Amino acid sequence: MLGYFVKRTLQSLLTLFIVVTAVFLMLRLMPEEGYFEATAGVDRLTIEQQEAILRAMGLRDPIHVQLGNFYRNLFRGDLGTSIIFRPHVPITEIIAERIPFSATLGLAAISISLTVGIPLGAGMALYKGKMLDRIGTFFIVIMIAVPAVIYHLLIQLYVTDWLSLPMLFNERRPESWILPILSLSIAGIASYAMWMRRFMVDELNKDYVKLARAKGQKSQKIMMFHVFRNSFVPVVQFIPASILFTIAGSIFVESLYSIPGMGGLLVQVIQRQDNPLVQALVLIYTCLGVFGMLLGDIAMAIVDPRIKFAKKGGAR
Amino acid sequence: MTEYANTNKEVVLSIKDLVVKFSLRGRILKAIREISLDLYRGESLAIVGESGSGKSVFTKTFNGMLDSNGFIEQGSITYNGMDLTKFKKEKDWLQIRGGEIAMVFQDPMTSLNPLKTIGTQICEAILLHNKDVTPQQAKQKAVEYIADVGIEEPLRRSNQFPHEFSGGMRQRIVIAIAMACNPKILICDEPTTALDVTIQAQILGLLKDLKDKYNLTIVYITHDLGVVAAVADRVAVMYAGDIVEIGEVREVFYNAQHPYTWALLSSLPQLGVKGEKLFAIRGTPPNLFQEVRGDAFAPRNPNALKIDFVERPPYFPVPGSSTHKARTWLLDPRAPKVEPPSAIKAIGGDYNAL
Repeated sequence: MLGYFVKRTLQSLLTLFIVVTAVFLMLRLMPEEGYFEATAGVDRLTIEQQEAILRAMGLRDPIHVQLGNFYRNLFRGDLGTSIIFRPHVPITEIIAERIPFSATLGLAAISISLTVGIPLGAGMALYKGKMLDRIGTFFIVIMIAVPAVIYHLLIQLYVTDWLSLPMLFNERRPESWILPILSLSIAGIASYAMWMRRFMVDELNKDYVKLARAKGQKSQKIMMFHVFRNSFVPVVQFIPASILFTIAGSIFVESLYSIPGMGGLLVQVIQRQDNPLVQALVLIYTCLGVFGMLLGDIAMAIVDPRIKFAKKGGAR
Repeated sequence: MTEYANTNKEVVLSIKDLVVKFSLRGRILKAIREISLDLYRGESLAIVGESGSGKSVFTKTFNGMLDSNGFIEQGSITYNGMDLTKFKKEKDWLQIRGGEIAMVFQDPMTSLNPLKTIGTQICEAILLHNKDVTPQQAKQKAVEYIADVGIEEPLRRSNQFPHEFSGGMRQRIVIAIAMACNPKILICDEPTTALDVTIQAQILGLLKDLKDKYNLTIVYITHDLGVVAAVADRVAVMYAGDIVEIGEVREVFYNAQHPYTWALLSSLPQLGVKGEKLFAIRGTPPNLFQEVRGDAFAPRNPNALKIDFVERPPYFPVPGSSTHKARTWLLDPRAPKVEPPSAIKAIGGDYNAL
């Protein structure tokens, strides 16, 4: 068990390293003009002046030196300073201001997806073929078939009007949280409900449920003691993927509602080529994604006693 | 086998004229056609018959486990003075399931919850049926039950999960769960079908031991006549939702009366002659969507009498026995003499051959 955790953690660190390095290298391929836009028109600087600025930023060092410097600073907790977005402000400071917004949005969306999606799916399985199941299935099909961009826009466009909520996020109006969180959690609700329903229907038809009935257990107890937990286990493996989806969605939703979080910031700084800031944000998002996956796998191993044998291709 | 005939025959479960129907896509299927049967305390009864003859459906009516599209149309099932056919709500059935009538299913690989230790699963049954047992005591008793079904190191084993057990071991656990309910009647639905032959014998031996130890009444559902010979006192032969012949094992095996029983016994591979084709019953069972006229087996019976197609035979007692009866016109005094097939005679005095 411990070996498994160690192995998975090392794998995650490797993934993290590869993604961050790849992003770092790709950013070096961007046109250099981008670095000057904020200060003064690039055409008003001589080539020599441009070179001097680039050298001062360390961009004329050989690429492996740049990479080495980046990682050395990273381990000291120094993410560098912003070049363009807010020149010379430490990136950690910029991000620290923004994390609360992103975290609120993300955590709220994830917990709402789980707390609504799982019971919805369970209810659909219990009343399979009945009204709840049909409405739920309709909802799930729509959510999966329609691209997220479209319903995010539709929600912003029509629901704000309909519920007379503000179109854009406003820190002083807590009700402006409602729609971003709704937009972000609705896809998660649909996918959790879909998986939960599916696995519960599977479990309900299994022999051990029949045996539990035959030994005189009450239906509700069978549901709680046997079926719910057993169907939740396979659902757990979809949680990491769904968290990734939520993270990706949050980038879009944050810019859509102008929430001053990291997602909106990432879109801005990529456009304005503030490389250190892009690197830092990508690093944070990658960490979230990779460790989300890792947590999902570890949760799986904890809830399913059979998992330790899966290595040998065995008992499942 | 003979001692049971001498003991006082106390009826524990009495089924009268039971009719079970299923509604399937708007059509009605009559799965059980007026079965009457008395089950005696302490006996073991085997119900044999081919797939689809209604063996499982019949026993499922005893503890209310019929599928939701099945219903009892008429008849009664009397247990402890209660008519089980009147039970509608789950609450009614909870006083029967487990504590009075427990079940062992065919496939031990899927009968256990894969995510709970077997100790927990046995405890669940103990706590359900013993109100004054603390969880701590239940744990202890669970270990005893595990030892009872012949598993070594019961304490260590009780903390393991089902995937750490082999098929035969799991079936022992399923039996332990059934026993932990402390039932009066145990229904074993093809308990050894999914197991390999050497394990089959062990499981059957175990069931026999438990039957003696706890004075159980056991109903075996099987299509394996070898199982019948090994464990049963009485055997009921089912065909198309009806019991066509019932009697003590010896009587039915050596002195079979119903043409279907003959056919069933003749199709035993053990009775085949080397180099010759094995015997197979021709045709297919009747379509139970339609009302069956006469003897349901008549269309597949080469020696069927005319009346077999017209009127359903009643039970005729077999001469010289108080326990053996068959639903065949051949036992009517007016019937012509029809000789059973030669293979049946070959069974001789030795049914260990089965």
